Amino acid sequence: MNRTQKVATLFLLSALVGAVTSAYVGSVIVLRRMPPKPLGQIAVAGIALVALAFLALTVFFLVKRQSRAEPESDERDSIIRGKAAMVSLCGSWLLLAIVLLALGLALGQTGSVPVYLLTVILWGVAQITLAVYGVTALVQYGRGGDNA
Amino acid sequence: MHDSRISNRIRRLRFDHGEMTQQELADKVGVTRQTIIAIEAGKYAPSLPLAFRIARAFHTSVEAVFQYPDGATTPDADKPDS
Repeated sequence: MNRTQKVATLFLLSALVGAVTSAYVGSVIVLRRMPPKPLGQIAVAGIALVALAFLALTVFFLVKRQSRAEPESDERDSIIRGKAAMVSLCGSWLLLAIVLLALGLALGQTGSVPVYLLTVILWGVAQITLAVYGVTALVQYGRGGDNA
Repeated sequence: MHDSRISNRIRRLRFDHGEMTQQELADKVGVTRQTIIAIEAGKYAPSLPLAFRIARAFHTSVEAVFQYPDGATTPDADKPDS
């Protein structure tokens, strides 16, 4: 696994960890109270442990190389990175436009939304962008870079 | 660069050059092992500079490593008429 694949995998994992964290925080906000004591403590400790393990894994993953002479990336990697970035950026803009358009249509000219909703939307779009980048890059490696 | 019709003899040439591993070839030409695997499998057509570097790693010409079908001058030249 080269550096581009590692970064793509990390992006995908980041998106998954972000989704789990968001689901937990979202449930706390929606329920307007912390989960029952034992569950709440276990969940917080679990998230902290996952975050630490993720950090350690990231450092190990990026430092480890298959060969001393191996370059960090080559021409095929840069083509794959370019395609993945293009797909994820286009996807994120499209998604953001659709969400904002849907909000506008649903609420009308005079409707209003809480201020934090924009942060939530941007956070969600960022997570999806990371996931799309990761999946696009890994799929291209799986298919031999689509002969790009 | 999308052209899967380009075939190559890299696997054969590696074998003929002291059973060179894919990693050794990758290190020699300055790419990752995954790229060598993709080129060998015909899933990725390398750039011209990389094709030359691969040929030089085997002390031979580009055409001795990579082959393109005769008569194929345009991407659709060797497709059957519809």
